[in-house]
Amino acid sequence: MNLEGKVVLVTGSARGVGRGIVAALAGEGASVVASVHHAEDAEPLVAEFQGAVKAPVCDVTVRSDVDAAVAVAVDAFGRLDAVVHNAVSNRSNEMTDLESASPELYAEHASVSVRALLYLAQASFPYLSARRGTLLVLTSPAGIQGTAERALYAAVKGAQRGFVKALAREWGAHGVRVNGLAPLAMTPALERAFAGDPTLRERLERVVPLGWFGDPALDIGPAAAFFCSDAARYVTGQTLAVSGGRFTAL
Amino acid sequence: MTPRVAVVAARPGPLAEAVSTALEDAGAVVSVVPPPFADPAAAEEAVASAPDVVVWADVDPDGLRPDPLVGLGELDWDRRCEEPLRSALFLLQAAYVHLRGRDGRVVVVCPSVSLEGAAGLVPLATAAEGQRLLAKSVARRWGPDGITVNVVTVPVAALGADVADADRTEAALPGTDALESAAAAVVWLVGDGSAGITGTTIGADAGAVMAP
Repeated sequence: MNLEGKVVLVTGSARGVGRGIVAALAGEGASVVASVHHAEDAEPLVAEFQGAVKAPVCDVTVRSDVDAAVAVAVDAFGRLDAVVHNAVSNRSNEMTDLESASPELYAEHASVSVRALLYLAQASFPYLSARRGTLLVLTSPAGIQGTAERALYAAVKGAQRGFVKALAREWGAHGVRVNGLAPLAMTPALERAFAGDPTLRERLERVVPLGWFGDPALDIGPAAAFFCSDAARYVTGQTLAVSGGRFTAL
Repeated sequence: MTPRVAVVAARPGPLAEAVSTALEDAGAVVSVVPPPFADPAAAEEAVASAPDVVVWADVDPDGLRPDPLVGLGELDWDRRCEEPLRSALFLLQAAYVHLRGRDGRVVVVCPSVSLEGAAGLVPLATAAEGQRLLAKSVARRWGPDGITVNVVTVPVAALGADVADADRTEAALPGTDALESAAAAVVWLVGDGSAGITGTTIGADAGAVMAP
């Protein structure tokens, strides 16, 4: 995919899938605004990708932060072609006792995965519509099939898929594409989950036909780059599972 | 059908009427409780009748009014999207103690825009698909307790939405009453013949979407 000249905003870029997507996009020639939640994560990103990446601090649950991150793209690069919402709650991989889960825990999941989508969509629409751009939402296989251990996470990831389908129909008239990507990747968060549940790795490997977990930069990033490229100009309202065959039910 | 105590969470309207009447006709004792549930305590009060059947069948009329997402305020977003999802979560949490060990049944009735999306109805579709995934997850979680959890989808036109192309696919069975079909599906899903069915979605849309 040639992304030369394209400007992409990626949320949750510090590590894991977000960092892999930034690497793939920059590798294809895009200029990337790689937003991070914590200031100390900004400098390593800028240093690694040099002039191709700006790394503003952005709490995606704060509208003014989201507005500012969009402004960084426009001010620094003069346009915005794509937004990739990857940020998730730091508690997204926690096993959750649904029956006693607190409203505060649910609100934490919903604010990062759902409310932030509202902010991102509203802030970026003028620029995306001007460029016939695209919004890509990082959802999850859990948001397709459900999961017994992380029902709150699955609910907000499913909600994101509803958002994608509806907004794709709404923004199609403006030439803006909206899609979802459901990755299964070896990330620091998944490693923490494996550490907390000794049987999880084996259980997951058993249901992934390829038998291994994707690499954020080599396996997930290129799929995100495809959605951000002109090669995907006729693809909208879809969720692509990049999960080693974990999900095959469609 | 084995005698049931049912709670139908729904604001007054044709959907609530269709579902509650069908359950009563099937022999259930039905309470209709109107969402939203502001907190877990409100949801616990809603299931004070100790139901072994819980049906979510609520759609906020404001959620059916088409509006472009770009101009939507945060209060409207919360009311149309996040509040219904929160309320459904609180209801299921509160219901669990009554459902377990009693062959409990849960059915979530939601708009079919959860499957297809619709321009102008982004908050509704977001909430509905979130509810559908909540139902799937709870089905997986509560299966060992003998509780089934399923979803029935209804076209938004049948719920009163005035959106020209929301239900864009022609029904295979034109003239079918969607609310009557939804109510019949609910009755079957809480009845004795569906004990092995969980986590599934039945489209009460006369064969329009035919989602895989």
